[in-house]
Amino acid sequence: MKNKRQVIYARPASLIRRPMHYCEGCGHSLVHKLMAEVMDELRIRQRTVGVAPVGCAVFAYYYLKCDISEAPHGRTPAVATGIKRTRPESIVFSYQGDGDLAAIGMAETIHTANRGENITVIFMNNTVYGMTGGQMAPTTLPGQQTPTCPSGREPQTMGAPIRVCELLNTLERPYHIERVALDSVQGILRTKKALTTAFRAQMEGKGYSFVEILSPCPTYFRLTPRESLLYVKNTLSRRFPPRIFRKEGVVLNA
Amino acid sequence: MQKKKKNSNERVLITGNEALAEAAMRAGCRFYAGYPITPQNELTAYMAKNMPKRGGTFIQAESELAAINMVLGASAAGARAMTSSSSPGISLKQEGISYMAGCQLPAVIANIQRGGPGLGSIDPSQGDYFQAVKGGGHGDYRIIVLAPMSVQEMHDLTVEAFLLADRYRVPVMILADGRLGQMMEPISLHRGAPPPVTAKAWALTGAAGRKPNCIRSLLVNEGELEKHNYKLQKCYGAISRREQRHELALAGDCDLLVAAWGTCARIAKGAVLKARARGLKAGLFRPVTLWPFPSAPLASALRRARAALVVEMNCGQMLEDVRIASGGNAEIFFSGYPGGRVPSETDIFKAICRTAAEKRRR
Amino acid sequence: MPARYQIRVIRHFCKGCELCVGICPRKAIVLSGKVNKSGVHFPEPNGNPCSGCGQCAVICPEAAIEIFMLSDAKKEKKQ
Repeated sequence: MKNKRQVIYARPASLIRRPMHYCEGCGHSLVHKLMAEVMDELRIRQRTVGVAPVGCAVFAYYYLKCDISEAPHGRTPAVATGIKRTRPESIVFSYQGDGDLAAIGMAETIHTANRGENITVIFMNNTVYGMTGGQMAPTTLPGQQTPTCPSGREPQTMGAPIRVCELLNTLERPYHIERVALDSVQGILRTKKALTTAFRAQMEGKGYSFVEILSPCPTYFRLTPRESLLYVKNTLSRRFPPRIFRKEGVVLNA
Repeated sequence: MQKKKKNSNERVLITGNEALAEAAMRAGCRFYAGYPITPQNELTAYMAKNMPKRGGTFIQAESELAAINMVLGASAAGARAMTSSSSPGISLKQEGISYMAGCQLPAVIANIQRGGPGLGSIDPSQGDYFQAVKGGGHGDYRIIVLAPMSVQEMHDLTVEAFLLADRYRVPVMILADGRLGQMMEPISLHRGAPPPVTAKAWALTGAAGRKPNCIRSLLVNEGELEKHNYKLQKCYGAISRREQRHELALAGDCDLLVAAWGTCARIAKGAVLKARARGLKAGLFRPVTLWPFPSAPLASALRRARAALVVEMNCGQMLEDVRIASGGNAEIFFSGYPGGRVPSETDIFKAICRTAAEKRRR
Repeated sequence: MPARYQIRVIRHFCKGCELCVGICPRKAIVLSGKVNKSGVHFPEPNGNPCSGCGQCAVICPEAAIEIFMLSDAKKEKKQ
């Protein structure tokens, strides 16, 4: 009786075969894996050009097997704009964390969306600045403790968490805006679907796509990986509701 | 009507800002990102109008910061890319310039200087010499800095800038000022096809049939960044050896060498001729490349002249490089016009006379 | 009886997050007593029949789990 092996799931080819430096249970690892799967399935790896952020994912180029550029902190969408306008046949993504996208890079985020650049922006929202020690981010929740709000975030003096999808949804030009959550197997699969939709939209020249991914940071949540997924599901998703905000250029109400 | 010959001299009456923009496009620049700021708005407007006609991209970015980063991206993807601004906007671009230097990305940045520091004034100035030549951004890097003194040079040096940027994979700055940007002169436009863009094997063109390319300046592994810095320095050494440009006038028998750059040099030329007419043996040294600074020819001219009068529209910036080049072999005097003041020929002539008198007293 | 589905763990990619162990509905994958190069206990199939649901592979942040179907298995797709 011959035991022939058929692959049901294998490590995606677009994921470089090396261990990732991210913490155990980190959302970046998951999303890199998903992006690699999407690049494989859509067969776009050879024309994909990514822009990596400043933050934990600055080393994305160690893992994703496509052309990648670093960018100064927050300027990722501007760099992506330069690349896409120069090579419109490339599939260009900008991959950013909380600080990169919603703090220092907020102007670039809004204006790239406003111009409707035909790129895909991936927003890893884990409510902290991981690489530098877990400091307060624009998305940190009220009461959440970080080294720069050791008594917990006070909205009166520090501002309230920003809902970026909702913000970008006020602009006319974006084509696809969606928030997903890495909170379960279903959440991970929905994230992959959102990324596929986004990259497909770019392949078809439809315009700007934005995927916000609520992401676990077990280190700064101070939870186990399993607890972190639950925290994303039960706490983060309450403040940042996962749904599709803009589909095929049309605003979808809650 | 006379039939226009194919290679006939295309002469136009044009502002410095527009001459610069036109040169960029003729040099094959197909990406421009900028933001409005006086006194370079004509450059941005010219690009807005003409770049799309040439099949290129024009973007009015949300800030000067965004613009330099768009240029970074376009350059990373292999394009000849450019941005322009004026002093305060150039301050915003320093981060991007440092990154581009670290990543060895070619680009051209035009600074049409205005009075500073801070918001300053909209009048012409030469207050950004330090910023351009001594760093501006963080880290050990250099950019090539070209200082035109006429609208023709605004045009010609810009074509050169793109060639230099591609040849050495460095950012190149055109350091002009509001006077040069706004004045109109008849010039000959660059003829011929744009120089072919050499294949950039390092560019982000999509990893088809090759290993992925990575444009980065973060090198945290032990020894990596040190090695990279030496590599950059080696490149800067090559630029220093091959690309210095300067102009010397009436320096053979002069006993007071007037050293000036850009607009100031142009005005100083007239003042030097006036001084000669009065029997004063003045000469002129004009660096065309502020970096690499033509130290050697200046040093030998100073050894002969034994005295220099540095004239600048600032409080003394190239002055320091002149002092270094002199190596103590010459007395260095200074006449500065900061804060948006443009000296007249008479101003500089009087400064020459004062300096000559001061020299006699000593 | 030969297994229908086979899980393979790339042990040196594992960081010991235990997400796969927690998610498996058949308890077919458990933390091994052995450690990998990083000193982390990695998961291993324990012999309980794997249904090929793929959840462990989906949830693994390190893409360290691969799943194979053996050719004499029935062609029921479980997802």
